[in-house]
Formats: sequence, structure tokens, C-alpha cells
Amino acid sequence: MNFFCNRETIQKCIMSAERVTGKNSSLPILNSVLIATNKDSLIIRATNLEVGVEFQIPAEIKKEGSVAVSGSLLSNILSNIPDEETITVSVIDNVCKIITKTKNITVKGLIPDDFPTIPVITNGESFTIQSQNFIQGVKSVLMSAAISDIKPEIASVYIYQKNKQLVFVATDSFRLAEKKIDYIGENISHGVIIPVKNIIEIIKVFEDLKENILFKITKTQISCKSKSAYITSRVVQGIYPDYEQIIPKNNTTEVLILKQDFINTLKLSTIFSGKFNKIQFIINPQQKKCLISTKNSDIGETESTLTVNISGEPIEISLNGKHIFDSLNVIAEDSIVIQFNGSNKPAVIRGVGDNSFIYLTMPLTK
Amino acid sequence: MINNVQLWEKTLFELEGELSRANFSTWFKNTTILKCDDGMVVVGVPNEFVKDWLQNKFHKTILRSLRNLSDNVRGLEYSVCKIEEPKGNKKSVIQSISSQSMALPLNDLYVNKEDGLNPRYTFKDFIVGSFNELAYAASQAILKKVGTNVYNPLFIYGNTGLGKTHLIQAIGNEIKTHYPNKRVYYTTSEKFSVDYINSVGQGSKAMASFKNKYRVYDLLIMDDIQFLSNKEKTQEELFHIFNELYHNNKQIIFSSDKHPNYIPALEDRLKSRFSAGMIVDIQEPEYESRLAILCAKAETQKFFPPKEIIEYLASSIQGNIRELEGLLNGIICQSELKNRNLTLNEIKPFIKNSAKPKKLLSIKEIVKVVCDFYSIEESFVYEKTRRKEILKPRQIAMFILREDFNISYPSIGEKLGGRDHTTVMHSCEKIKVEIKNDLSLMQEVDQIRAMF
Repeated sequence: MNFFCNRETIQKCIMSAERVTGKNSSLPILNSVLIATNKDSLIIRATNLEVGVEFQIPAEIKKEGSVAVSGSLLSNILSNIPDEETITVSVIDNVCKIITKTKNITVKGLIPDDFPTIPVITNGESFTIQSQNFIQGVKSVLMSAAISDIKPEIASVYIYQKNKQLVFVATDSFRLAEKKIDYIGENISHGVIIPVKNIIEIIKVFEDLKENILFKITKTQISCKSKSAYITSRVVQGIYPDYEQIIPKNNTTEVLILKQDFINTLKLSTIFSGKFNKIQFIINPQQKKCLISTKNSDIGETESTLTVNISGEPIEISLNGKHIFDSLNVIAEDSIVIQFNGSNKPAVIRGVGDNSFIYLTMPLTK
Repeated sequence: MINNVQLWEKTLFELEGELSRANFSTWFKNTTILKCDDGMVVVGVPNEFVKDWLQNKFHKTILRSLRNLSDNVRGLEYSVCKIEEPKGNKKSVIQSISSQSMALPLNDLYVNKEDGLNPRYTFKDFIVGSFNELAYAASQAILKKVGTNVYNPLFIYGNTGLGKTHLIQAIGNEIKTHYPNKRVYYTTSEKFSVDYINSVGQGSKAMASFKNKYRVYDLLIMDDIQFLSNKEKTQEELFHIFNELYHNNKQIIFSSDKHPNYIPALEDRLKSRFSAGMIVDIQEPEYESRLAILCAKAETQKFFPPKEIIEYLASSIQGNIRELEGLLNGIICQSELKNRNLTLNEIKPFIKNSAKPKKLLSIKEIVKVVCDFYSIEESFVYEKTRRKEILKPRQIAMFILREDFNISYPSIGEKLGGRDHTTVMHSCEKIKVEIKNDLSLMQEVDQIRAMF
């Protein structure tokens, strides 16, 4: 094999591919990325048997062939030759020679035949979404997915179609985020549950792109394809909990707050919020005041008052500060609305005037 | 003939020798044989990556090993399936937080809230025997002709633990898979009445939404209908819902532990409606069915006890399938603990508590029950009178002694006032014939039998 290509392009792909190599696998070849040629382009492939990626980049191919090289090694090399514009790579007997104007590097590779194939979905449903829309949808809910994979259904992001919208949901059973993105296109008959670790890789691959992605889904697998990248992941075979029934339709107390004021106050309060991130809210509609206090018996306590717009009944409630922060990070609006239904029912947070995002968080016990 | 688990174990053992350790553990971890039909082996793999790889790289090797072990293997396929990883090393991490934080009231992950059905109940693992074949046939007829009012409503009754819920949920699940746009709803009469009571308390809007909720379904399944007794208003609501659904050719399925006519305090108009379609009962399974059920259950648990143990279980426990399963689970647990198969003698004490004690009743006691039922003096039965009101109870007593307690004709005759055994035979024969034609007599006998 012998080829010549742009250093920056191949570096970007190798670094992306390196992320999904199997780091803890007992099979050494899973640590490597596969480099292969295809007429006038280069194919870079990596997999950890959960996710598989494949990039196609333009290159001048002088001699066809393929090789598997350690991913971390290769990305380390490429990031340390920033001055080179192009590189020439030649492979003889699985030994890879990287030649630049001033440098000569030799890397030992592995037999490419042992490199796993990446599943290609041929049947199943397909649909297309603009990459940035998809990423926005995923990023709005990602933080709410469960971390532990004891219940794989909720250590995932759930995506389904509802009317003319694509709905993204994640919950760890203490909070829940739902984001709707406008969608015009093919009907998607069943939702898909993608493990959160894998969807992070998917959005990483498409992060810098602004083009349409073609998704294909079956009961067991999802694949996403843009012009230059292909990524496929296992999906969770199961039923996502019926979350819609827990989204409250009414509220007894509604609070309108300027987001920045709220963030500033919370930042102070979290200093004392302890390991449960417990923040207490006392909301008084008559005085239009919201008292935010935290207390840590070891270090001290805070108490701050915010003047806010309140309608409904007075309420005292303790919420998880981290959960609130997570929601504020994805809300773009300047002011937010928090709705309560009593001190042991979930609180609802959303941006004022934005119906596409809704966030639920359960109160903490007193 | 070796079973799938053993076959795969041996295949893996052969393959392990041929491949490097890393290769083997990466590609063959969590694989299993899902099924083996006519030599077509389907191997379950954890994901598409493994499926692709086995297909491209190891197909021939696996097939060769399989053939070495089992002559009738013809083909090999792969299918991605959900394989439970052995638990134990996964420790619950959330626990520390959850002590402080309340969980969102999400419903149990595995019950599909929308239809209330449990996907675990399917026809695939439903054992059909002579005890339930009628009920099974009726359900199959419904599946074939959805929405045509054949057997509408279907009413299934039988004692607890005989598979009523399994059957009716399986109908729901089957319809759901074959007609995805049909709306199926499974509920129990208890849930239904709670739903009703809640809606009563919340004004007319809630009431209307309750009424509408049940009228949109194409298949309504209501379990344990006997609990509706004495709930007049709930019954009335069910009556209206029933009418609405029935007129729109929507299928309705009920289950109960009694025949509708024996459910106390059930409105006549409901009784008559329940009887309008098809009423089938599920009997207690006989020996062969019990054997089949145990074998199937053991198969799903991947546990293969010696044949004589299964046979012993099937013969010593009568009736309730749930009990059968419970005992089998107990035995599986015990043998896993001991890491070997249990012997017959070890199982016997196990069974002791569950096997139904044979009822020991003296003839006198049985006669007393019959006499009490007809409110006559016990002594009359033993006398030589042929008065009609005495004759009938006496004959019924003879019939029950013979049919249910297997007492010989001569000894029945002797104990009931020194009668000839031919008299007893005549009496039994007579009741046997009459019971077929006389409905009220049949009910009387059933009620008496219920008292033992």
C-alpha cells in the first residue's frame, strides 16, 4: 500500500476513530484502526464492537492495500507533526512508513484480515435529518440519561417520531428531559433506544459537519451516514418507559425567573449544598419572593432572596442543584419558568416561550 | 440426542482449541443456540458486529464443529438477541442517591403501559392439553376472525393457577403483533373499578374521560371478573361499555374463577351478556399435560432434571400449574445450590408440603353434608323409606360416594342402610343420566361437591 494525503484531514479522522477503538478489549486488533484504500480515497475504520465508525477521505492512492495500526499511537504521531501539510504512507509486510518532508517514521502494524467488519444495514427504516438539528436534540437531553447501565433502557437516549416532530428523551428516573425538533420526512414507525455512551460517539463524529445524515434503523442496530462518515451502533432492545403520563398537565405554583439571576444565585448556593446537591426553595407569592437556601453542617450555610414573578400557592421544596444546572445549560431563553405541583411532585422547568424543551426533576426528601 | 445447551457447549469447547484465547472470548462470549429446527441451527449473538464476524470468518469452522457433534445439522444462521449477562459484578450505584431523592413515578419498565399486557405471555410457551384445548381453540378462532363477533364475548373460567391469565394475555399479545393498528387493552376488574371510583370523585369531566377511555379499544380483556360482585355501579358502567363495544363488533374477553351464573351478586343483565358469546372452562390438567408443562418449563429455565423426577412431580401434584412451576423452581434452586441433580428421595420431602392431602372423610360425614344441603334428617337416609324427598338425597349421596370417593358399590349399599349393591348401581346410573338433562340437579350436585 502506498498513498499520499493531507495531514490535517487524516489526523482528524484518526483521532475520531481512535475514540471508538476497544480500549479494554482482550483482542489486540480492536485497539487499532484499519486503514484501507478504495480507488481514489482512503478508508479509516475502528470499532469496539458496540460502535463502529468508518471515514472516507480523499487521497492519492499509488498502490492499493490495507493495514491495521494502533489508534492511540497513530493519533499521537499525527498530532506531533503539526507543521507538515501532507504525508506519504507506504506499507510493506504490515510495517507502516510515514514519510514527510523532514521526518521518517516507522510503525509496526497488524494483519488487516483480522480486523472486524462493520455491520451495514440493508433493510429497516431510513430517515434523514440535518446533522446540527440531530445534535441539538441529543445534546438537550443527554445529561439526563442514567449513567449506570443496570437498566439499559434508561442508560440511553430514546428517539421517536410524533406528528411532525422528532422527540428526544432521556431520564435517569430522578429527572427527565424531552426535546422536540421539527421534522419533515419519512414516517418512523417505532422509536429507537440508543445507549448513551454510543450516542456520544455519534454526535462527536458529526459535530463539525453541517450536512444531512441518513439514518437507518432496525430492531438491533442503527447506522448514520453522511458524505464522508459512517457510524453504526447497537440499540437497546426493549421498551422505553411510558414517560408521557408523568409530565404534569397543570400546576399549582408557577415561578418566572431571569435565567442569569437564577444561575448566579444558584452558583453561590451550591457551595453549601453538600453531596446531595440539596437546595431549598421557599416560594412566597404574596411578597413575590423566592428564598433559596442551602445548609451544610460542616462548613456553613447561605440564604438568598430573589424577586420573581409568582402565581399560585406558596410552596416549600428541596431540589437537586445539579439537576437544575443541567437544565439551565440547555435552555437558550433569557427567562425560565418553573412549575410546581406540591412538594413531593416533580418540578417542571422550561424556557419562557419555548415549547420544544421540557425538564422534570423530582424533589429531594426533607 | 443432546440438547441445544450441551451441543453449543461442546462446539465451543472444540472451537476454543482452534482459536486464540482473545479471539475466542471476544467473539463467542454470550452466544447461545436459540433454536434448532430440522437441522437449521440459529445461534444467538449479542450484537451485529459479532453476527457479521461469525458469518464472515468462522461460519465454516462453527458448522464443521456442529456437524461433528450432531449429524443432522444442515445449516447455520445467526440472530441478534438480548442475552442476559450474568449479574453479580454490577453493583447498584444509584442506591446512595436514591435514599435522598424520590424517583419519578415511571411505571415498571417492562409493562407496556398503554395496553397493560405483559409481553411475557405468548402462545409460544402456552401448553395445550385436553384440559384447556377448548379454550385454546376458541381463542384461535377469535384470532382468525377479529371483529366478526364470533365468540363475542369470550368468557373463560377455571380455578386459580390454570393459565387463564396466560391465555387471555396471549390473545392480546398475538393480536397486537398481527394487527398493530388494533388497540388492545388488558385490565383487571379490580383496576377497572378503582378507575371508576377515582373518576366518580372528580366531576363530570373525569367521568366522561373514563367512559371514553374504554370505548376506543378494539379488544378489551378483563381479568378476574368475579371481583365485580357487590359493586353495583361498576357493574352498571361495565354493562354500558360492554354494549357499546359489542355493537361496534369489538372483541371482549373475560376471565373468572367461576361460571358467570355462580358469581354472587352479579347483575342478571351482565350474566346474560356474558353468556351470549362463548363460555369455556379450563379444567385441571391431567397427567400428560402436567408432564408437558413441566418439561417446557424446565426447558425455558435451561434445567434438565432426570426424567423420573419430572414424572414423579407430574404424578404427585395435581391441579394448579402455578404450584407445579413453584416446585420446579424450588428444585432447580436446590440443585444449583448442591451443584448436582437431586435424587428422587431428596425431592419427596419437598413435595410433601405441596401435594394436596387426600381428603379422608367418612361415609357418614359425606351423607351428613348431603342431608344438610337438602335439610333432611340424616337418619332417614339409612331407613327403608322410599319417600321422594328422601330418595333423591340418598341417590345423590350414593352417586357422590361412588364418583368422587371411589367406594365400592357393595360397601356403599352396606353403609347406607344395608342395601343391595344393584340398588346402588341403579341409583348412580340414574343420577348420571339425569344430571345431563336436568340443569338444576347439576347445579345442586356442583354445590354439594364444593362443600367437600
